[in-house]
Formats: sequence, structure tokens, C-alpha cells
Amino acid sequence: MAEESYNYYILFPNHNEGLRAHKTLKTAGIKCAISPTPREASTSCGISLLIREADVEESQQLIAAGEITTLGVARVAKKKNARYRSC
Amino acid sequence: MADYRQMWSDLGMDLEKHDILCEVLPDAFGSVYLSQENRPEGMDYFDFVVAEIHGVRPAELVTHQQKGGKVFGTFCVYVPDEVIFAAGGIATGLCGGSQFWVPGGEKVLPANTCPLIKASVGARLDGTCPFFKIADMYIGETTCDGKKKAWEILSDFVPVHVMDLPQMKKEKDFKAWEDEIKILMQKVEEQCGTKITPEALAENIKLINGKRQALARLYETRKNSPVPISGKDTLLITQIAFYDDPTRFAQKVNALCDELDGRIARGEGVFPANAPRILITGTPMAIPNWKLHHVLESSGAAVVVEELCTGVRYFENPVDESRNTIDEQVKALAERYMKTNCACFTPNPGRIDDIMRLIKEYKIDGVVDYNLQFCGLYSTESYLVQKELKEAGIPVLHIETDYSEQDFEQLRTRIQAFLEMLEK
Repeated sequence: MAEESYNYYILFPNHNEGLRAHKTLKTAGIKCAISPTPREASTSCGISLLIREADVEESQQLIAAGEITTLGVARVAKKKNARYRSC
Repeated sequence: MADYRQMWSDLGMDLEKHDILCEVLPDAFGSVYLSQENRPEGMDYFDFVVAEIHGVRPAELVTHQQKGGKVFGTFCVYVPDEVIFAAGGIATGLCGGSQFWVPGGEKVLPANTCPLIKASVGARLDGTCPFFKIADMYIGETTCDGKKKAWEILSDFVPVHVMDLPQMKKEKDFKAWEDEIKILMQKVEEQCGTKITPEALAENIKLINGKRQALARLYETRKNSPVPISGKDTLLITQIAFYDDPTRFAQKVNALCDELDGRIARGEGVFPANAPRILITGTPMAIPNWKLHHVLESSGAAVVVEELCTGVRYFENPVDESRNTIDEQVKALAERYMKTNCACFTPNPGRIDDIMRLIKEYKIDGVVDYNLQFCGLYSTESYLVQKELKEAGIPVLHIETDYSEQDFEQLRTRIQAFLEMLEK
């Protein structure tokens, strides 16, 4: 059976905190992408930061050091054989 | 994740229905955009705009209204934003690129109406687009029959001012368009309670030209091989141009272009240098219609220019900034907007000239001539476009589609066969 793989999203109470975190992680050389928040992670719309699994711990430390408020990190299973979806 | 529910509720939106759209966007955006390799860092801003698409900018527009300002919703590249901003108003694009809104439009429109019109009307009727709910007035135009009738339906809900766009390019038509711009000025002045001065108009001609120059610079980078940015990313930026604050937008695009200049200097691109270079021509692609670009670029092609309203038609031909009276400035605006070559004009040889020019400038290998279903104007003009391209020996593929996912694999098969034909 194929191993499940995941995406990791940092969630925020508002976009200002999200943008602060984005700047902090980018400055530290951590790869991250601004993403709409997936429904599996939260029912709110708005930004989250998509990061690699290997960067989760360091990202959390940097965010804590920068006193940035988050709503935690959500682990969302990657979709297998995802086909094109319009919205 | 900011909670905009209070704002949406205050705007009278259908929160439950809108929530379904919120649910779909992350998957769609993730699979089409975030899956791309080696995207420029400068795309972060535009990703942010999408992630907050019904939040941040609508909140700015509501703040503008709370200070007494007016918001004008527009649908077309012929509406001169300069006039609206000069009166102290804000012009914003309106939603119309999602399959999600189509059934709402079909409740009142014939099924054989183009998806862009159905989606626009559906977005307003279903109460699932904040821009439609915020706008104090919609500015329509007479670019097709479907839209002309749609304005009459929408005017039941919001005041609509329709600009009568001439359908030919005779001398009298330029004069008629000048008159239409003057009528728009009066309407906008009445709404805003201000008088447009030559100074304000000059300032806002520069403002909108600044946005055009930034986009022209962005498209210029795509003439390079390998191309430093994907067609999908450029499409997204062009779509956002219709909504965003013009000053901020130009700053962000110019910052991105600085980064792209570095990529060009290093010979760095997002596709191999031998990827087939594609021009797309045809009907506009309102956000979030990314379907055709996604099929092409996930099949190995590089879309390097669009002869679309969400492409070069939006930013080519800056307005002459040297005029200093209202009459002369309006004339300059009319001259600029009448240079845009929409299929609603007859005859429309300028569009074919544009396509042939772009093919040379962007070193195009093949053209995709695209129209939305039931767009009589572009699907009919397709005959002339294809005839000219075939005579010039340029490979062309005609695609007619809608916003749905149903024909995605069928499109992929046709496009892959076309790309194989172009292999270098």
C-alpha cells in the first residue's frame, strides 16, 4: 500500500499575521507559499502558508521568536491522482 | 484566516452558498498554480490576492464607501477607468470566470448564452460575489448582444450606465466615442458629487498608464527564451489588474519584473528553451478561468502572449499624457480606447494585424484560437483569423470551450496532438 503524503499549512487569525510569518520564513530561507486555506484545515477563508514537512519545526520556532500569532499547523493529506478542478 | 463573514453578511451575500465557492478555491488554485516549479518569488503578492480574493480588496472598497466614496463595477476593457478615478471613485472588475456562478445565470438567461455573461449575472443574482454587492453602479457597454440584455436584467438591482460603443471605426465613430466618454463623465460626477478637473484627469491618465507600463514590461520579459515566467502566472496577474489598487498593482508588477530581469540575465526560465511557444487569441478569461493555460502548460507548451482582453488588449497603447484641457484629454482617451481591436467591430482587420505582429515579436510556434461557447462574435471571426494564419503557414488550433471540467481530457488530447505537430 502506498504511503500517505501530506501538505503542511500554518494557519493564522488574520492576513497581517500571515504576511508577517511569510516575511520571517522567507528571510530565514525557508521555502513557503501563500495559499488559500484548504477546507480540510479550517472552515475560514483566507491565507495560510504552505510549508515542507522538514521545515515545520524550524518554522514554528521562528514564528514563536517573532511573536507572531498562529492558529497552529494543519496536516492535510495530498490528493492522489488529483484531476483538474474548476472553481 | 481573516473572518470576513460579518462584511459579507452586511453586504447581503448568501453566506451558505458562498461557502461552497470558498471550499473549491484552495484545491483549484493549489492544483493549477502552487504545483508549478520554480515560480518567481514576486508571485507571492498575487497568490496573497487570490487567497484573500473576496476579503482584502472588498474591505478596502467598503472603507472607501464609508468615507463617502463611490465604487463602479466594470466588465470590459473599453470602460475608461481614468474618468472614474479622476472623479474620486474606484473602478473594479466584477466576477465572471467561474463555473460556480453559471447555474445562477441560467435561471434568467438562455442556456446558449456565453459562460462569462451567465457567470456574471449568476454571481449577482445568487449573492456570492462581494464586488457585485459593493458596486454603487455598474458600467456596461454594447460589445455583444448577450451583455446588452444582461444590463437590463442587472438594472433591476443596481443602477447601470451603458456606454454605447461604436461598431465601426469611421471618423464619426471616434467622435461618437468621445461623446460617450463625456456622458460617462457626467454620470460619474453625479454619483460622486464632484467635478472632474483637467488636473485630476491628467493625474489619473498617468495612474492608469503606470499600470499599463508595468504590464507591458512584464509581457516584454516573455519575449525571452527560456521564458522567465509561466503563462498561467502572467494570466493571473492580468486578471488581478482589473481589481487591484492601480498604484500598488504597478509597484508589485515592477518589483516582479526586476526579479525576472535577473532570471533573463542568468538564462533561467520556467520551461525548457525548446518548449513550443504559444499565442492565445480570442475571448477574455475572467478570474478564475485558468483552464486553457493549464491544459497547454501541463502538456509541455509555454504560453508566451495573449491577444485577449485579459492580455495585450488591456494595456497596449498608452493614453497621450500631453493634453491639458478636458476636451483634448477626452479626445486622447477616445483615440486610445478605439485602438483596441474587439471582434464587435466590423470590419476588424486590426486584430489580425495585432496577431501577426505578436507572432513575430514573441517568436510564436503555434496559435490557439480560443472562444467561449456561444460567443458568436469571436467564433465567427475565427474563420478570418484561421484563414490568415493558414495562408501565412502558421499552425493554428481552434478551441471552443466553457468553464466546466467536463471537456478537460478531451482538450488535453487535442492540444497534445497539436503540440506534437510543433515539436522542434
